Amino acid sequence: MVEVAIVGTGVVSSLGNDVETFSQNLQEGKIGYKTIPLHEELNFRSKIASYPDESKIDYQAYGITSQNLLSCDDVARYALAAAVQAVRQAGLPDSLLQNPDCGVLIGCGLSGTNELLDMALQLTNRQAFFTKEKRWKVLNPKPRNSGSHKIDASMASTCAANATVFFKTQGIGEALSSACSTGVGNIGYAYRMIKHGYQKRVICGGAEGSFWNGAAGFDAMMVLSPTGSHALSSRRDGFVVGGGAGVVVLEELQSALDRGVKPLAVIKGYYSGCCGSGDMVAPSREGQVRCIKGVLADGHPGWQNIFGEGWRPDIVKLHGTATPTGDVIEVKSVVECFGPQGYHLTAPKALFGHLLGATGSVELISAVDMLQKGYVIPNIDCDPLDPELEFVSHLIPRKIVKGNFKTALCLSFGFGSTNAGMIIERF
Amino acid sequence: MQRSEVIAGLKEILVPFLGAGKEKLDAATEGTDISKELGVKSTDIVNIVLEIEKKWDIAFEDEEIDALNELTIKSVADLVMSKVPK
Repeated sequence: MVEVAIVGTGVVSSLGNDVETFSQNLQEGKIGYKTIPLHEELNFRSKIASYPDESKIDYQAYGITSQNLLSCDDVARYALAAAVQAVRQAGLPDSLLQNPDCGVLIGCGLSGTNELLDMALQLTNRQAFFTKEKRWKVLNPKPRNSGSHKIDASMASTCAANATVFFKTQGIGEALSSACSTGVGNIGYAYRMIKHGYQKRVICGGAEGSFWNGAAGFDAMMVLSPTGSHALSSRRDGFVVGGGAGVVVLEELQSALDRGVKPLAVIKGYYSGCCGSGDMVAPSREGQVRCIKGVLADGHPGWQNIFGEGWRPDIVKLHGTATPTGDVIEVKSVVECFGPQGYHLTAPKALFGHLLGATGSVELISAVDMLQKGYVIPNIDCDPLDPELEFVSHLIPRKIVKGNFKTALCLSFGFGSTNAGMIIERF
Repeated sequence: MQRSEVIAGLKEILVPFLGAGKEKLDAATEGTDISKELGVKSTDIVNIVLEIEKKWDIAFEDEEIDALNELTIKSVADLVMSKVPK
């Protein structure tokens, strides 16, 4: 069976728009979210969010032109910036990008909503940015006045489409969307495409824009925290919404080695499935345990644990959203599968919030980084720990832990009761 | 309005839509094909027209945009000149 390697990573986030800065901030336990003036102005219950500082992204340095950016909302801009980082680290020349063996799979949660909103407002308000310097001019509503890029910048596949056009890839060009599992879901699908011989390499991951309109929807659900991202703590009161992108390059392990590229990690198992509970948002322990067992079986229907009985990863990267219902169920699901000792738990959303469609891929990249550099991201904001988690307090480092860590399990759960998990091993 | 002003303004508008390098725009003449030589995508003609409408406070009919078969600096400048005050 073909082995699949992670050979490049790229990230755009509130904790940095490149992997090195991101890594440094993770190790130092810095918090990326902050107060957002627009959230205050619009009377959000949660006035904090985790958005990247886009002014610090030098698109020109990535070879991304103003023409490339015309068809992008912020979600695709972030995806492109992260994708270029990953492709450069992977050392892929144009000859390997621009052929049918190379594909793109980059999804997002809510797509380019700013562009759609812009068009809707211009049409319904009968206003356009017309002679804005001089005055507002009232126009008859006319779609043409909002420009010709509302579709390519807002369609569900906008991240993948902009990346395929930019890199001129000829293989698969699609975008899976599975809410907060999107990032891992696209990487998992790419993993299977390569493992089963359909592609040799895939640029894949997830992204989410910095959209106040989408954040407003979550605020209306009252699932956002007014105070912070207190994952695993008794103080947790919701998640901190965010945007960004995480993109990796996957490649046949042998192909990477033949090119002289040192892989960062190898994917050892992947599973995606649903709780089947009939609930849109509530987590289910049964579904989560099935997900973890599915990863241990590398997604195969035979449910045979290919890692062997008693195996456990060195690090479990939790979904850990910091919602009142989520974290305890998740930790108990993990403990049911791996027991109460012998590994570390980390919930990095405490640092950079919940990046929605980007969260699974950004957090997978954080796991690659932990294995590469030998550390566990500190659970900086988990005290006082939820009383129901006291029995595994020893698994939850409050400060950075250094060590020789080889394997990590990454979990992501999303609306629609979708659960995804991936096990990676440092190469 | 002078034709030279219109062409200078048009060149300014074209910058973000270029597929070719800025030096090609700087060297462009009235006969330069905006699409073939400057690499402007056909989907951006609408956006360029919108920018022209904003800049000179004029309006084009959809039919006038459809009729822009030959897309040179000259053909667009002619259209603008026909709309701006003499």
